[in-house]
Amino acid sequence: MKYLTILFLIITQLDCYSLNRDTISKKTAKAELISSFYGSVGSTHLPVNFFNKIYFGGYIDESEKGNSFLIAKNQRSGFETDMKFGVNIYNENDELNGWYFSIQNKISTAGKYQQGLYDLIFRGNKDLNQQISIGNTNFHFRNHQLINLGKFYENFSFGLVIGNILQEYNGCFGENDLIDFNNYYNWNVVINPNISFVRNNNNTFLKNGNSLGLNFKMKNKFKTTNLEYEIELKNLGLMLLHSNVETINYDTSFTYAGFSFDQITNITNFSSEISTSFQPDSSTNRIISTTPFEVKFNVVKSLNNLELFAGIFYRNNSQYLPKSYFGFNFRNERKLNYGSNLSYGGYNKFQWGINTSYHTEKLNAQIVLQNCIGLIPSLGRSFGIVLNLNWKIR
Amino acid sequence: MKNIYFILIVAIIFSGCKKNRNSVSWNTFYKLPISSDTLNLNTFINQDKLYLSDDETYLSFKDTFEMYKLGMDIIDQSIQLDFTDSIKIPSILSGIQFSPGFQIPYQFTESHFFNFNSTQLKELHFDSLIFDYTVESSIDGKIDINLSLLDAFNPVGNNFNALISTPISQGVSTGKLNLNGFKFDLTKNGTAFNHISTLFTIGISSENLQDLVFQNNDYITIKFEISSLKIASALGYLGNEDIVDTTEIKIPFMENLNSKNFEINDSEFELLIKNGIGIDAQLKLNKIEFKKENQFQALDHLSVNQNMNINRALDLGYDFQYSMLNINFNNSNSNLPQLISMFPEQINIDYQLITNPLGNQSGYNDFIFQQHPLSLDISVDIPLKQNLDSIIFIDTLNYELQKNIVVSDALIKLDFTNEFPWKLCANLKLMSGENINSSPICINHCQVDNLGNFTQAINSVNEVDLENDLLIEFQNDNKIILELIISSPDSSNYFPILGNQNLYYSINMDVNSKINLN
Repeated sequence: MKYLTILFLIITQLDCYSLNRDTISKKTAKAELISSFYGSVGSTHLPVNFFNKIYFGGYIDESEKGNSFLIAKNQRSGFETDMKFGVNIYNENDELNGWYFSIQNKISTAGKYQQGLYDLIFRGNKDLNQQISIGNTNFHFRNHQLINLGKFYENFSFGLVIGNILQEYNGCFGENDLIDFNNYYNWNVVINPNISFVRNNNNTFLKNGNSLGLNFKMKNKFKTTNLEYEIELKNLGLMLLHSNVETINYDTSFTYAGFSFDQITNITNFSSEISTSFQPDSSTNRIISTTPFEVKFNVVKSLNNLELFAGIFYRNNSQYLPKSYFGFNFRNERKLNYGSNLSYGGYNKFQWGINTSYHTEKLNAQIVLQNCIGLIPSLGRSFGIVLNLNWKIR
Repeated sequence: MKNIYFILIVAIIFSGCKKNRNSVSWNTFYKLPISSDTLNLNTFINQDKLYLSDDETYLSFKDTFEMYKLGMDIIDQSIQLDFTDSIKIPSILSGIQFSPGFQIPYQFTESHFFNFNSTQLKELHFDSLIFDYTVESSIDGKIDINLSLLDAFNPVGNNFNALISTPISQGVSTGKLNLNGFKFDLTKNGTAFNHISTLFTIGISSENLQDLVFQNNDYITIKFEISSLKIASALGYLGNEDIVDTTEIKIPFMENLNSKNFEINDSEFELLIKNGIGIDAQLKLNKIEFKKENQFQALDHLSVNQNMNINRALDLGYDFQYSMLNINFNNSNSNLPQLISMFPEQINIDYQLITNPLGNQSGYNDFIFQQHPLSLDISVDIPLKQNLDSIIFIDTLNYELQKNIVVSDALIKLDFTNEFPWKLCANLKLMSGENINSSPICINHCQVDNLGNFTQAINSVNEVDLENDLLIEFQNDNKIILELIISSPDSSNYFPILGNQNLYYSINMDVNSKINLN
């Protein structure tokens, strides 16, 4: 309800600002301040309410744990935020070419797992008298600070992305890993995790990992067909985790039927049934991997005041399902655009989004809601919001 | 109107910012295995202490426990090897210039006789010996001193030699001498005991920058003090000592045990006095007391309060022979079996030991080696053929439960298969004294034949439903009192136990809990 109110107020007051548009003198912009915020949470099986409770706290009741699915069903859930502040500096008397610079903070966490593992954690093993596979389980958590700088032209831009890695956690399990609950009180566990951690340190600038990537964007227009396409690559490069890398990596299987007599009484000192250490090992090894780069391809067809668009989006080194989408934007005569889209992918599957934007000579504002159903937290399984606000300095 | 919208937006956004984040919580229902195991005699007693009886119907527990040991401590206190050497520069050398590096053609020797009380030693061998030395000099220049201990030999037969120095000018310098492994001949070529001689030569240190001139009455004093020592062996007359002491043997485990009756069939206990020292001795066990809950009960036996002569050990060079004296305790000659059945938590042995009661009988040929002490051991032979009546074992079990898991209700399932001739009943109590189980959790004894031999295992299944108010205390206390009562099937038989008898158990829990994450 809170979000709906905000949206309503923003939309209804936009006209008020547009009343003065003719008073702005038409000068060429020297620079444009850019800011953007993107926040998104989504799951293939959990309602948005669940994430509300995880983030804000509270008791997660049975209805908020999502529907019961087959335990072998693959699920994914994730959360991400992306904040960026920067500036576009235009060449003299030219608003199409110039330089860009921005600082960015990207935080994301996501996991891919089978329903059974989720049920084990949030419901218990009461109804799990079978084998749970954890072989497809993988997850990540990352917190990166990025500096983007480069040059842009009318149809082309490129630049560097220099990254400071505050945190980078990645984990996956062996293909055949499982926990067998066929006998409730005699668990067979086969586990072969491969987890690496890089934690944050106290140094403001020298972190335990760094990255270097490239930004690239190209767009073109077929004038005869009013068809425009756009290809964008963000942060394509390498990530080096060079210091304080911790790993959990072992291959073990055991049957757990409770502690042995000596373990609970200390009367004798027999060897432990479980001899594997579950503590992370500090490693002097470095880890080099590709950055979590993003690829987007978008086509737009203009029909009078209507723009039809479709595209695909991919993110590397994440549990994010490649997303495809299509939709429309409608331009009215009052500088207010609005539109809607349908998409498939990401941490959810189908999403229905709406967007609105407002343009004046100086101001460019945009709000995108990625899944309207998420406005009803008990129904929707994802919710995302994009806020862009740019201000031109003349 | 615009301003009102703006203020409204800001107010709504800020009202949405929570200042305090609550914990996240959810309910789960787990079926948890808590503990399962197979217990038998080998769980508690090493297999090499268990012996099968001749008729192969029962096992016996045989072991030897050390009660008392007398070793180097009989001479350690007496050995004082601190001494001081003084080197007085001959007056004939005064006024003459000596250049750096010049060796003075004099030898300075000193003899030291030590008083080791009644002990007169011919030979002392040290595992380790460290001397701290302090050198004081009145000479205005640095002097190098070559020290030889002519009576100290290393394992290859070489004398001890060391170079020590005075300070560069008048004053004091210190250092350490390491004589680890050295053997001292204390006889002064067969003419004395407890004797060490030292030999010094001195020279002008080449570190002096100019010639050195001795003054009349110049001197050097070197003080040697033992920093640490460990004697490997000693030879001579080890003296006549009268040691009166009380040894306390504590058995903390027994504090948890009580019984109405505990009978062991034909048990045997033997006091083994094993003398590895080359001295005669006389031992008197003044009193042996068994303590249980501040009550003392004395051992009755002929040996108590009687002098027992202990012969010396023999070192034949190619063979070492201990002197042995065994005293047997059983049902017929003592009350020891009864005392054992009270599960004593402490045994006090009040004794008197006189070494060489008849003086220097060996003609200075007593000996003592680090590895061959005089010891009092007790050997037990307990046939595991017993009758128990309400042996009570009480213990406090500590545990630590995750504070972020709140158990709403829990059902503990216990499943036992017993092959032992013991009925075990357990009570679990909170620290407040309240029983967790409304009635005792009992495991029935196995089926036995007329002779008390095992015939068939018995399965017992119990469930304990933990109520909410008990659970709160259970989770907060982190301690629980376990009372275990063990009884034999009847009071008329001795029930034998074999190594292949087991107690199988599994403890599982169905738990409805709320997990809290901050």
